[in-house]
Amino acid sequence: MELDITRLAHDAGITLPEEYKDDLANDLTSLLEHMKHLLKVDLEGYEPTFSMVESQQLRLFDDVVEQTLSSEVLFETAPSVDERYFKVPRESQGS
Amino acid sequence: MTEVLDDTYEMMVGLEVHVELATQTKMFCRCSSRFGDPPNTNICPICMGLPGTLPQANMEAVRLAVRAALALNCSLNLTSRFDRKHYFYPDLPKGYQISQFYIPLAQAGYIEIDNPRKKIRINRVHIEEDAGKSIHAGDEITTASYSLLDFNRSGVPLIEIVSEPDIASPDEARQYLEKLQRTLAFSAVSDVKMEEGSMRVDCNISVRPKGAEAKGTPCEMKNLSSFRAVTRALAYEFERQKEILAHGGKIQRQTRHWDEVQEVTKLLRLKQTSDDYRYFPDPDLPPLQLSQDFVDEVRRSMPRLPEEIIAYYTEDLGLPRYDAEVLTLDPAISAFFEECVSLGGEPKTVSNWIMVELLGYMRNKGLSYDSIPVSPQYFVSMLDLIKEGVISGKIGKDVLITMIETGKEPKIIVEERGLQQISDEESLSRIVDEIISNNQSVVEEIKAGKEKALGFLVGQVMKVTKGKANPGKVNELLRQKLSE
Amino acid sequence: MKLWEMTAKEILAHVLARDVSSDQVLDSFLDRISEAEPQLNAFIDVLEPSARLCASRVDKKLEKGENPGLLAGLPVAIKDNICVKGAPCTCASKMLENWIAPYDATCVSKLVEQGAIIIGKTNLDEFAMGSSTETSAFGITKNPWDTERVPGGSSGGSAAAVSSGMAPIALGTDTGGSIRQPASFTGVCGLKPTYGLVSRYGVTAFASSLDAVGPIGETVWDCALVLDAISGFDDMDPTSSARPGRSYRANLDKEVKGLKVGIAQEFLEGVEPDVLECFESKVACLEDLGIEVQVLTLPSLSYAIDIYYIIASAEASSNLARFDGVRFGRRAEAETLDELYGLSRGTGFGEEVIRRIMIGTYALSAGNKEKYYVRAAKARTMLIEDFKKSFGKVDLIISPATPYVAFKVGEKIEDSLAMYTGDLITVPVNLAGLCALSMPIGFSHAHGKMLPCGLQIIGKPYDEHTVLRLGYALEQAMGDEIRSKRVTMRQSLKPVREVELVD
Repeated sequence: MELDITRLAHDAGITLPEEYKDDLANDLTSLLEHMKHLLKVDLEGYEPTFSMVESQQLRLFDDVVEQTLSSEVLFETAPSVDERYFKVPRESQGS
Repeated sequence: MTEVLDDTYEMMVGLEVHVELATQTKMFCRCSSRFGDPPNTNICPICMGLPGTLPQANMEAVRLAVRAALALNCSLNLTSRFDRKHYFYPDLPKGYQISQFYIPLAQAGYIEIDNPRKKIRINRVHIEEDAGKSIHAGDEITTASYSLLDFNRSGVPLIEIVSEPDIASPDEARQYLEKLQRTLAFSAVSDVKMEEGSMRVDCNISVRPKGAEAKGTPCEMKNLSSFRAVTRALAYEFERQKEILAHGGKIQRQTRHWDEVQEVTKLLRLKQTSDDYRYFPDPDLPPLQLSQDFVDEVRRSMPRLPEEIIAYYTEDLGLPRYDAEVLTLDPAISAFFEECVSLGGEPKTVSNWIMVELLGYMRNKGLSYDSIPVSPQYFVSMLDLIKEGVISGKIGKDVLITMIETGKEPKIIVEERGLQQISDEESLSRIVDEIISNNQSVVEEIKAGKEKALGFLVGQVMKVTKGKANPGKVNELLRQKLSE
Repeated sequence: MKLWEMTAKEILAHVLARDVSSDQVLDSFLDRISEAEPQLNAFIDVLEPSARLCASRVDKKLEKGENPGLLAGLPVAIKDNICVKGAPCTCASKMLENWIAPYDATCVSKLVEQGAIIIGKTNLDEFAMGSSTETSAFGITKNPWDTERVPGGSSGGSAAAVSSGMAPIALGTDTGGSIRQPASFTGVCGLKPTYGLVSRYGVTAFASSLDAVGPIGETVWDCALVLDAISGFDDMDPTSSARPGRSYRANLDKEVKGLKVGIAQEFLEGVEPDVLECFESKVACLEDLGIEVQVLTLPSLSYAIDIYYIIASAEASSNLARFDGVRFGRRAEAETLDELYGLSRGTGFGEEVIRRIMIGTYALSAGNKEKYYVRAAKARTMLIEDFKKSFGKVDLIISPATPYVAFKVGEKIEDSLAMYTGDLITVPVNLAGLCALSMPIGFSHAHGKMLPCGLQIIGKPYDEHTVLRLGYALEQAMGDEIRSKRVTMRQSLKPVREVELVD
């Protein structure tokens, strides 16, 4: 399957630097080719392991409010703040 | 009467409803989940998606979600999983939402509507976390357009309730939503207020020729702001899609936006392929395991649902079904009613006064049914005053309004405004005599046989006494004096 | 001997005996840093002011006769993808160049509680993705044994710091070998604990089901000491194990005779002759200690690299989705939202990170998920079962820690596949959630300069005790072999007047 690098980059939320766009495409194609080795192996009867905690139980916490951090600290390291809001450019129309 | 929309085409509607759970804290952190606080006050590294943070699941959210699933007649998956749903949007801090895709909390439930009497099947109920809120500023023309983000809502626990496309008309959709809202309000799972965003509705509607086997292509409408918007948008969409099909066209999969002002749906986005959220099981979260004991305990502690309450009101308290249904429009109303009855109020009397006077007033003033603006004690007190003959029923209506608007006790209102009913024969006699002597022509009419004119004289007495005369006694006295 | 030349155990003894103050210990290491750091670039940040405060706190406790903690006065270097409150946490990325962590990672607060002094944040491959520390946005770190060579990665800074004497102990993270391989390349000990044993809260996630935090130190005992401090249940980490821990130092010198050890033949494929030679001589050493050595085969190991890169990249693409310039981190100039995301991420992330995000996004996309991600997850189960079967026959599995010794800067960075396949020996441990120690066992003389070779000892989940015990026994049997060479190497790292800094 032909790798649509532009579409993939869009899905990944990345604008690829022009300098290595082509190299990256080649790189990815060969890496993905290599990974196709997995298509050959017989995996009949194996359930997928999606985490290392499958056999544990989710711990549930009491519904009690705890304020761990002041918002001020988070505003300090924010790229753009307007009054008490985080500010971003608006979604481009018709996207 | 069942709505008949069309002979040739039919609609299939599925509704996806997001409901905020009434917990104190968020789904995966212990920030307050309270609505209405100043922006970005209830935030922490976890719900802000800072590097290195990990989720801590909320017990109460799970409990409420289970309660909702049971109230909606679902079967629970005792083991369910959390999955990551990926998309980029500034109000989604981690770039993914923790949701349940592969194995949801509950499946295969239903809501029964009355008109027509049918079950709308529920495909699934699952738990997920909410995103933050965006406020868009600036317009398309100016370059200085931006969005402001408030993350107070980020991480608030939600359940998503997905129906099968069993809904066949805008009115069925309304009934489904009303029933859903009531069920969730009564089970104390959520505030379910569309205006506060604790209940949000997305619809999927497809249209096909009646009797056709193949399903139509669905179009989606998101975040409709009220039940009315839902019914109107669905009606509009039905016509739009019908037009296209009738002219031999094909429906495109689209996301459309309902314009409240112009009352039309507009294209927002083409959906060529379904959104690829790259779902995969969240490796940070072990499976959610519910014990049968836990489920049983939730079932046992479930607040009474409307049907159960209606049965109690009709069978045990002898109220008509209509009354019972009005009294169960909102948990606040039924709680108020029951409190009044427990304070000694006579059920039917209390019911009448609530339905007509109290709710009527609230409707007029645009007050929401979820908060009764008078105390049960004062309400019952006022009814007692009527029962004892201290005030007339008509005066009682006045007192009720004053009670609501001033918060004062009925006895005090009556005293301050001198509203006591005049019942003693001597004072009434004098007034009646005066009215008789001033209205001789009417008296003649009555004596001639026109009984109804008596009411006019009663009215005159009430007018002169500013409504305080005891109408029963006035009637009695008039009859007595006129027959002399 | 200067304080910075001592092991953690030795320093601790002096501090507790009140021979030296915590402040003096700190002085010694700060001096060493000013000496060696210009040539090595192991640190992104040295945190002197806060370290001084920490040291004086510890000294006050010692004066009052209060318990100063397990790590009293020991400087610790922390890999810069682990949050230290109030300090920058860059993950060696332009994306987080100016970001200050507003909270402490659990492993850090545990260290501080035990009297450790956080001396600085060390260099790494960007977002811990790499095997050479060459992908850092803040320059490469050099290997103290040969400054033309890499220290390994991704915890290259931490390993180089300990190896060169700039810190007695360090924390690293290991997702596919990122503690063990640099430890091996720089001739020190590095431990990857069992998944869930050490809390991941406050550690920037790379691959959630593979990441582990672990110690790097000169000796096995030093690593055991740190593990005692940082391991244990943490309710801030939902994957944290609730297992009670016994002291890891307490049973180090127990008998190893009779332990059964396996060598997976798949691990020996592609190993360079000089490394193999070193390894085989130590196998003989183990046999002398009464260890029963047998050969094993784990066929699924030949798929380990593919499984690893699919799963790690998939999880990484998800974990790095939060870096968008909206709430924190680098934000590019942008007029639209699409630009904000695309440019912030496109310029904030380096090439290797972008490569992995792209692979991961691909592997999770509709149409590919079954073929790549789900298959890899099934193959992972097969690998886990292979290990289970093996651990039914042996107590531990050993191998060379890496297929080759430290390579030259620039040698492998252009060829991703070559870089990736070098991880064959280490990634299976993360995939199966096992624990493993990497320890120095000798040197290769095949490349002009003397370069360290390492041994990997792999144990069952939660069996760090047996792993450390064997490591300790071997270390004792080797005597001063490694240390004496290390002393010589360290002496050669003298301050140079004209320093050539390589970007």
